[in-house]
Amino acid sequence: MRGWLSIVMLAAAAAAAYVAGNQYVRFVTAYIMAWSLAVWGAQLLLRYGLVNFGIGAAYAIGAYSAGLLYRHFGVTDLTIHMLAAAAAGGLWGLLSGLVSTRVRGVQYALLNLALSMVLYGMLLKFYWATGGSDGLYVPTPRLFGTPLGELGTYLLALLLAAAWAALGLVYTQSAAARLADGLRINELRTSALGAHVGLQIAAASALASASASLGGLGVAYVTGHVSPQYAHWSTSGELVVAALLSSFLPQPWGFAAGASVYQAVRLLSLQFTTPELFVGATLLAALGLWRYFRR
Amino acid sequence: MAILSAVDLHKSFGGVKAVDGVTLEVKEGEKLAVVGPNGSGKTTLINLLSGLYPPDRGRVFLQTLDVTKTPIHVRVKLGIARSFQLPQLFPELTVYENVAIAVAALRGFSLKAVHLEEVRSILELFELWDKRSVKAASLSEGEKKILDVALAYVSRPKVLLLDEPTSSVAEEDKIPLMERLLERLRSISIVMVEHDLDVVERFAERVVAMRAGKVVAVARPSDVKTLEI
Repeated sequence: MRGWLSIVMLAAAAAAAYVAGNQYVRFVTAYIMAWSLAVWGAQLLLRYGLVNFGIGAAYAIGAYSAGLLYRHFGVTDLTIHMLAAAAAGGLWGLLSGLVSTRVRGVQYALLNLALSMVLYGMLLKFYWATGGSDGLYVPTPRLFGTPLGELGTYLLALLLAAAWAALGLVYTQSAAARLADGLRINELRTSALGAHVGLQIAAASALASASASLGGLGVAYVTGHVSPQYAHWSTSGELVVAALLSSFLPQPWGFAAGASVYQAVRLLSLQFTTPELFVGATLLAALGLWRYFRR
Repeated sequence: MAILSAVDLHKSFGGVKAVDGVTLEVKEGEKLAVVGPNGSGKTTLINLLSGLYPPDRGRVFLQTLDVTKTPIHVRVKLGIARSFQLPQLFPELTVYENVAIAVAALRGFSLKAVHLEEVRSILELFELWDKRSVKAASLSEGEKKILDVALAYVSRPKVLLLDEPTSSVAEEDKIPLMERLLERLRSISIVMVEHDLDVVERFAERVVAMRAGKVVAVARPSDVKTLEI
């Protein structure tokens, strides 16, 4: 019950931010809520002990789904965009999950990083289709023919974040989550208890990628643009760091809180000449403090 | 009728023949002990029967079903489960959570929750309910062995393969531990690898002796101490 209540409170806080905030606050909040879906995906894989430095590929697939559908077919319908993003992202996750089913640890991280960089290269090189390094314009989506506008896009991001928090709550209490713990801690034993390890990882990978893909779609709606940078390993790295942060925070909305903390630090860092150094130092300090007080 | 049979099983690691032409049958409800010195191939045999390793040659049958190429997770669902010489638990999780994982493993990727009753029935059966909130790592060696068997029992197997169920358990606790386990596994066929001949004599119904990867004798438990292996 407390979990469901916390989701309602989070949604109410986000709605209040829209009412009370200026355009900049609305933009940042919508961006973070959409981005947090991709963090949710990275966090799901962390539960299986999988650090995916290629999750940015799925994030890019979602954003490019809308960009490509608009550029080549003139499609602006929200439902079609979302279905395309979820299906393409899920398929990417399923295939990359099956490809990497026999590797773990650093090999898993690097294999997925390599796959995402292949996609990054393709997005850059196929200029006629993807717009190359310029990327693509992503229009404001339409629902039943009506453009969503700023409020509609904000509400969409809010509803998706709340729905993902609810999904996370259901997942946390599910057999799948128990199994994820088992696979992370003792894969041999979990397999000897009847679990199909490869299938579990492929299913989790598909779900995580579909989530990241919808996150990418949401961010593209908020910014109105998509570029190959979405698939770059540094984007994956940001998502993994935010997911790590999330795993220290209370569930079921830890993913949104982790995304908020990370983006806040990143925004702060922009006033320095070496923003990456600021982000790294701040997060390390936060981790150190957390460990100190937890002890 | 045999519930589990191995026919001419071979397994080598490099140049070492760990299992060399083993043929054996386990009858329904039978408690079969496998004895032999270290390195005689007992654990490799269990690994072949459970599907952890594929054999180089030979066949494994569950009743009439050929399961030689069936992976370990499918064999569990067909009715072959196992415990390990070093208990394979989830040490940082509680006893309750350990069993919940075993229940979840049979379900696959499901968003349905694991219900308390499903876990409770197993923990009560193995007298671990009072320890449900204790982390598996904090259990005594004997309790770890019991939990390891309890995890295997969740799938309600037809055949249970126990790899040294009394190893690293204190001498005086071995017999009570086996009594406690076998009382709950009365109707199940069991293959147990065991070093302690007192345990074998008391709890097995038939004994297979191995040396250098081969079966060198099949005996009654009462004769086990006279076997030259």
